[in-house]
Amino acid sequence: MADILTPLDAEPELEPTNTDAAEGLVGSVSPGRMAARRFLHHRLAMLSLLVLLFVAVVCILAPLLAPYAENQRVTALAKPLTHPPSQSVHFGTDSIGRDLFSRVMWGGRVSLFIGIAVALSSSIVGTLVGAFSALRGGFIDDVLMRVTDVFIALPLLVFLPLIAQLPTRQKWAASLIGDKGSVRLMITVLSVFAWMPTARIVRGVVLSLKEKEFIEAARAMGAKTRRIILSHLIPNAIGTIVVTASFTVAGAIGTEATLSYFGFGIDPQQASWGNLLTDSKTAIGAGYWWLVLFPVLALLVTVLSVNFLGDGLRDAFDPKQGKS
Amino acid sequence: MTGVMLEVTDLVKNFYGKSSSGIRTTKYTVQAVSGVSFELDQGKTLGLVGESGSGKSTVGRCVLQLIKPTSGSVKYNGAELTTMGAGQLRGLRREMQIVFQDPYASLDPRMTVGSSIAEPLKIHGIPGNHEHKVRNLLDLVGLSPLHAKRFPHEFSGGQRQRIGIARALALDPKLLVLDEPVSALDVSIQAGVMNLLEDIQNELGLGYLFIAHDLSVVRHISDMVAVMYLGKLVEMASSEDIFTQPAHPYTQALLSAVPQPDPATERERRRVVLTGDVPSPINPPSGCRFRTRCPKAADICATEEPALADPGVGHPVACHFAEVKAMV
Amino acid sequence: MSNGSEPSTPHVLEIRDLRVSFPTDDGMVQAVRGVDLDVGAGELVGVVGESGSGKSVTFLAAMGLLPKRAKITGSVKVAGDELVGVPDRQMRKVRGKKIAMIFQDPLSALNPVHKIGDQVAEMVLAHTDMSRSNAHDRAIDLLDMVGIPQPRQRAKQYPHEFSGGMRQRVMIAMGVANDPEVLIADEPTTALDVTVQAQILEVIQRVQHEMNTAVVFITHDLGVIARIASRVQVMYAGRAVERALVDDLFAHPAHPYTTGLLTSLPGRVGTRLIPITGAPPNMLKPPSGCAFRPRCAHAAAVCAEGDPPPLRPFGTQETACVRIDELTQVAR
Repeated sequence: MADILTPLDAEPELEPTNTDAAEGLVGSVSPGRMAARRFLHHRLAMLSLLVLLFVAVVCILAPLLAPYAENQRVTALAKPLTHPPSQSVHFGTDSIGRDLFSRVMWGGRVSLFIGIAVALSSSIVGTLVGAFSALRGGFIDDVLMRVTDVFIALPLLVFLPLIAQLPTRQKWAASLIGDKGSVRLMITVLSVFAWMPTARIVRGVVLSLKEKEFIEAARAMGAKTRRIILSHLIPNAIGTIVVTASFTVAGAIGTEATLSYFGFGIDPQQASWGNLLTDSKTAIGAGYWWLVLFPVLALLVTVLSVNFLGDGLRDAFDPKQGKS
Repeated sequence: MTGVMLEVTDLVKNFYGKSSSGIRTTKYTVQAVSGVSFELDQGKTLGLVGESGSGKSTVGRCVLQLIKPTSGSVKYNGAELTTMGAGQLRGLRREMQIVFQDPYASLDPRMTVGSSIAEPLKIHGIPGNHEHKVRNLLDLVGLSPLHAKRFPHEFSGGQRQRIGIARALALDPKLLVLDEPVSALDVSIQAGVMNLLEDIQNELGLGYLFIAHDLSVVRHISDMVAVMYLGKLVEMASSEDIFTQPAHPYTQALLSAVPQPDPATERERRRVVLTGDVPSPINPPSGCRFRTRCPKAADICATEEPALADPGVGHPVACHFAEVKAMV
Repeated sequence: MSNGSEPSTPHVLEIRDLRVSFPTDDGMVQAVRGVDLDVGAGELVGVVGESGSGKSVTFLAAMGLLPKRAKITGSVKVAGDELVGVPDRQMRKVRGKKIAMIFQDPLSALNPVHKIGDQVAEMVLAHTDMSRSNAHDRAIDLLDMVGIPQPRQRAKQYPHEFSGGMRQRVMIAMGVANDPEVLIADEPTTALDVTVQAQILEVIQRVQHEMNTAVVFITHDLGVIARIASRVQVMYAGRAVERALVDDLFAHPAHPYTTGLLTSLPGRVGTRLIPITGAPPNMLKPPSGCAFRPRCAHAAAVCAEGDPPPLRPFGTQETACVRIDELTQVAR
């Protein structure tokens, strides 16, 4: 029997330390899969996802599902103007006799489209600016960040009328960014004012990743900058980018609603949720509650769901696997 | 293979910074490394020892050109690295690799272990199926080849460090720079990784530049040891000589400060306890940088910087009053 | 308990069967699974363990510094006063006065926007009726005692103007400001350079001797233990596995884990290091019987049975190894 006091003669073999048995792991789990798993457990986020999917599907299928076209006057009623909700017009009608139920669906298409388009474009721009700024550092970083600051400082409502007027004044602008009152113009304008938070956040993420040793290791191996960005930086930053994008969607939908309400947004011929509220100023006074309630409800439910979804995504990507 | 593999001469690295108090901006220079010279032979280990602010990690990175030296020469097998073009340098990277301190941050959390290990092979366009090589490397570092499909977060610190070593070996390097490779590990795990490093060196004939602050660890694995203080080399000798016959007051204080795991020894030792803190590398003391804490400091120490040369003790020492003190 | 490992003075710290567990997403983590310890006035006991051993959690629990969700049972008595289960209000009177703790990272314990002198004086004022100016004078005396040069000037400075070693001295000053019975030092030198560590160890020993404070020094560094501890408790997986006088521990360790730690230590060139294979256990489901047995070369069937083995006397030492008699050939 070996003496406890003398070290063992035979060097114990370097057996692979069986973390599996110790920790009960079976299959290997990637960080992406772990994030997905965490997300699925976040009940509020899952609920929001379902709600959003429902809303999105209904709105996308508006051509099939909506009882009436966007600007069509209701035919099923004797007195179609500002009729309260009833069996044939679930949400009531507006002052021109259009079915609100249908218009909410048509409007949803536009508002959701705007939200996603703005999030996509501002995320791309913001990521490029932020990543480039962080990687270059020095003077370029300073310049880009000051530019970002300027954009943040620009008051949206002051510049909006200016930009909104531009296409009518300058024909070249119209072909570039869309006609006055068009969806394209709205997306352009909102994107101009939405990319900055993404830029700042991505810059922060890249700055911290840049110092991580696995990046230094890649350089030590001889990796070129392009490889480092594509294979290492972006996969590790994508979580943050996605989360920021989701909050941008909510912000864009809300801002569009505000702008349209004030008359700076989408042309009233094309329904958007914000548009539908243009009448609400007079509607409340006259007692036409349905004209306010249903658009507001649609906005509320959607924006909240997107925000909860964003929360869920953020909790899923953070905390970083405990140890890193 | 024997012979000088790495030759560093008068290596200097300064970091420049600006600090602004709102109205005035002052520029400052951190003299991280101020003229370090040493040689590393093929198949041998040079231990680079120092406390915080000594510049030892910077030296390691300068050697690999991960940080561009401010001045000085780094020759690998006779080829000058500091003036080399990017392409040629990238080619040489195959022969010089680095193992980092933090096993948790040195692996990309989103890549499988196998991908991380194979990445150097991909970067250098080595054709063929890398799976085989990855399996061999995992086996070499004492891990199961089945682990290749797993992700870093599924492993313990010691295992991740082994993965880092496997990755560093993927290109069959001749020189490994090890920057505090075991500092972040528990003592019982350290031992396993240390054994692995020794085995690999014996088997593959690698040269190691072993950077650490833990003197016992350095002693164990090094053939030669160089002691750094505030950007300068103060003493360089064989491992045995440094630890039993140090001649520089800083080395003596350093050795005296290291607690030995033997109560009887600890009770009986003579202790040299330094006063004060390490000065800032922004404004290092004139002459000998150690003089502000040195028990032997005299006027000459402030005016004349001692050269790193052998004053008759058998190895280079940078001190005007070098004197061997036998230590445990 | 056998004579050698019992303190010779009355116990100012008595821990009995301390158990701590935390609820987590995956279940209850049993961080501490029944720890005993006695420390006498003026004594310095070293607590050694690696990560996951529960060495820090034990004393955080004693100090009442664990989050509310932690479940703590057992007894911790400081100078006769029971601390477990005591409401926070009462705990605040005891913390800093009878028992104090210093940590690895002084920067996080010091408030960056207050002067050092003020922070030390706050400690004094929290537990005494002194006037402000008296408290400040006491603060300066304390800074002087821990070896801060020019204490009057440096008391007016802020934490960021102090180096790591200096900050740790300030932490010690705050810890002993009210002359506590017990000072817990949780890896206070782990993050410091070796030469600075030597200075701090001296300060702690000076405090121990001049103020007759009982000190518990938590560390993973066996060298530090050899230097300053008189008695040692080795912890593994939430329990003590060996307790001995420091000379006994190093000369003839009485537990395979202790032996493993000692043989892992790097020494001279040429000797082969002997690591401990495997990894610390999962504290969600610790192994039955002796928690070290999956990694122990001497494990036998008896090691897996029943509850984790308690410390029992073995000569002048105490060990939790049930096979120790068979394993040692040295007659006692």
